[in-house]
Amino acid sequence: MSTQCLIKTSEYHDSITLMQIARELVQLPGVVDVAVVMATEANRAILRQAGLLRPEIDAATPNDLVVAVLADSDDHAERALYAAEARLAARDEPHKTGSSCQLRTIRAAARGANLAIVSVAGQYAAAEAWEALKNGLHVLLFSDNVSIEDEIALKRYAVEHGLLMMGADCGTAILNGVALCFANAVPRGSVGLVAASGTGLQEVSTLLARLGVGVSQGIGTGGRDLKEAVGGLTMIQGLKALQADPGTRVLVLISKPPAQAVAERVLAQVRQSDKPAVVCFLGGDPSPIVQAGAIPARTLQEAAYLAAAEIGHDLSSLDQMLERERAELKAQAEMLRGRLKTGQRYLRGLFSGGTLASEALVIWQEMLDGVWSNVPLDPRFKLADAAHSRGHCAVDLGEDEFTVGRPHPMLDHDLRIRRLLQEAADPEVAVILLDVVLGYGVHPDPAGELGPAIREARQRAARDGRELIVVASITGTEGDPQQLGRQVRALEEAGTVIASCNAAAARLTGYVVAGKELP
Amino acid sequence: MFTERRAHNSTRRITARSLSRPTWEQLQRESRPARVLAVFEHACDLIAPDGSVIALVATSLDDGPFHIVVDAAPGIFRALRRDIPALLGRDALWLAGLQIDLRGARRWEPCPSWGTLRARRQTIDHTLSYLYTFCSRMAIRQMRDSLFFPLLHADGLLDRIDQHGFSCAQSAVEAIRQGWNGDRPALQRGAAALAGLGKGLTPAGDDFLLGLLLYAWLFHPDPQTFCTDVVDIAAPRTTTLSAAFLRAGARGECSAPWHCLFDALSCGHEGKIALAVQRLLDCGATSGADSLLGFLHIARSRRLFCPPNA
Repeated sequence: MSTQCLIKTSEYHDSITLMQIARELVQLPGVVDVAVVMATEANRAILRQAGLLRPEIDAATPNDLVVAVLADSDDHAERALYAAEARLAARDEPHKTGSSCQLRTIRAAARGANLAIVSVAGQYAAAEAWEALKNGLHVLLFSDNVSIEDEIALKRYAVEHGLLMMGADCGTAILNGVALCFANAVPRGSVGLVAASGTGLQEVSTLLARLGVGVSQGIGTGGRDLKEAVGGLTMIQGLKALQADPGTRVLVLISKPPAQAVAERVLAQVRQSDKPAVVCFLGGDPSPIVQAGAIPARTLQEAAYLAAAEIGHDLSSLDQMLERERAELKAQAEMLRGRLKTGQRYLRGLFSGGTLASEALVIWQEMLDGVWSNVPLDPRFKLADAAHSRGHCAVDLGEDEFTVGRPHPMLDHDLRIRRLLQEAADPEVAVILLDVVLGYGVHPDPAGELGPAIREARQRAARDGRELIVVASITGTEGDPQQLGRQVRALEEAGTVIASCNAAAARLTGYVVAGKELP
Repeated sequence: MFTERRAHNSTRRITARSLSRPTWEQLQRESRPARVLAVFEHACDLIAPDGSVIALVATSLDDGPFHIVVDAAPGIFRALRRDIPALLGRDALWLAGLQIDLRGARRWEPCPSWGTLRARRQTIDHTLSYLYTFCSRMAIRQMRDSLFFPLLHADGLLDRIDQHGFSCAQSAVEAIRQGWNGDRPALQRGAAALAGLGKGLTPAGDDFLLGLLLYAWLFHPDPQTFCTDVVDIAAPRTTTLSAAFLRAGARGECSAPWHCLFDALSCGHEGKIALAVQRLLDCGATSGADSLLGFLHIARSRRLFCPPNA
């Protein structure tokens, strides 16, 4: 064996180059080991331990570079050092870290791009969004903790300059068939969506996909867009764009009920076009929507169904569909209710998507006498302590009180699993509802984590002589990375009852505990 | 895209976008000479006679404790060589036909608001749990090459040199923990063993110490003394450039990615933490990972948080 070294006095090379050189040299014929390090005292100890320390290194200083090679022969060692010398003498190549682009500023990256996704700390986010807008880019501002004043100013500028300003706190968009941030693989088509709700956009777009209907564009506005102060700037801008878009035939607007003045402005814009518009202001008053000549949808499920019907899908009427579903769900609920023990009477919804929680609450408020929640529709039913349920209860685990210091429940199920087991231990709980959201950017295998937890929860209840019913809805498509079918199978194997959508899941669980006829 | 004008005698003039506050203060003295210490694709380091370092960096890199970010793409420094003389002035720097115009450059503060951050330590404590979880689960692949990877994950190191390095580091890391609790000789012993240890232009051990120093600024009752004790031992044992980063860290100064991380920790937003970690891990080959592991290791060893599956 032969140990040889090369010392480059006061020679600095960037760390990635040094690492690359070491990796290249160790691949050479006959080379057993290589160290490419600065000649510090600590590194001499490493070289000594590795059998690579040569006497000439003693004279080197910490600012000197050492290339030490152990090879099976002098010849191979010399060749390796020669290769190292040549490599060091060549210009440092721009280092590659696995991403194709190392550009660190929007200005440097703006060439060739027309959209910037900004996701930096809130206090820096507005500045980056400004940089993008002023470089002529549309913006998807994923960051939150952006001041509402900044959001308003950004949106006004964007509108004046014909740019889209999606956000702040916008997590979902689908533009020209490209899913951005948390979104799903859905087909291209002619339904255009504008949503002040990420999971709302996801639910509607995936339900459309299951009906064989594609999406032209899915524009996210950010959660605050329809507040009075912001005035629906992005919703209106998105609406105008889709009204003018030849690829869009039907419009869908999704939001929680907006401020009245904002709703009026949005609906005024709806009237400007002949394109049919389905408007889902979750649980809001349908009258103004009807008066605007648009089609009201109470729930996300209805919005998808009505949009598909407007496209021309041969569907029975919404009422007929809901009636059929109601009958099926009631029958299913009766069967499930028969397994419950006396005393099991409450439902618990554990949600990762805020809009899905809202949709369920809208449905439950007509079925049940009061549902407690950390995001209640009726402030009288605000949970005093969101960590502990009472009565019928819907918990949005994506709210701030749960996510400080923890991953969002769409990314990590740890907290939801713990809550599931906590609810399962309550002898008064009859049924638990879980929303499972698939798509890009979220957990790679929700069923892989939730399935075993559901099985465990049901087993614990069974040991106490109880049947615990767990119902799940899955927002996703077969084209998503997690594969809808695979997720369904995994959850069913764990004993989960799978509903066709979040609204159906809410109705089913409501029927289980309500036990009464509905109007 | 970049402001660049050719003056009479082929001096190439480029504008500085930003410079760190300490660098600006340094340049307010009368003009003085310097020389090129090192040249890279994205940066050129200058050293003054007093040993202070200024890093000229292209816009592809971040603001840092002694950085001047120039409005130029990577490769701008290719024509330069080590030991070329430079002149440092209040409004401009000159070196080998290159003039860096500092007028109009934004002054960047390398010290986070430590007072504000320390006031939010309780929130940060909670959030450290997620930071650890994120690093040990989702960022694991990007941290694989760090000498200190075994502190995060049971898998061993792939590189034999790193294996030797880690075996040298283990007792030092334990000594650092004892040093945190007031054992000054142990702290000095640990710092001495880690200084200059491992691969990289800023050796891995130095980056690990940098993470420790920044953690001290957040949580140690006397960060000034603690950091000075570390750096007085470590700085003479490593490269000039790495020593400059360590000294800056001892003063509570750090680069922009660390600012992003502290901001994300203090507001507790996991998405931002994830992005800040990615930005930090982009630094150098393993510098970001090494420093993050230094930060996390001392945090864990103080058991201020309990990882969810611990």
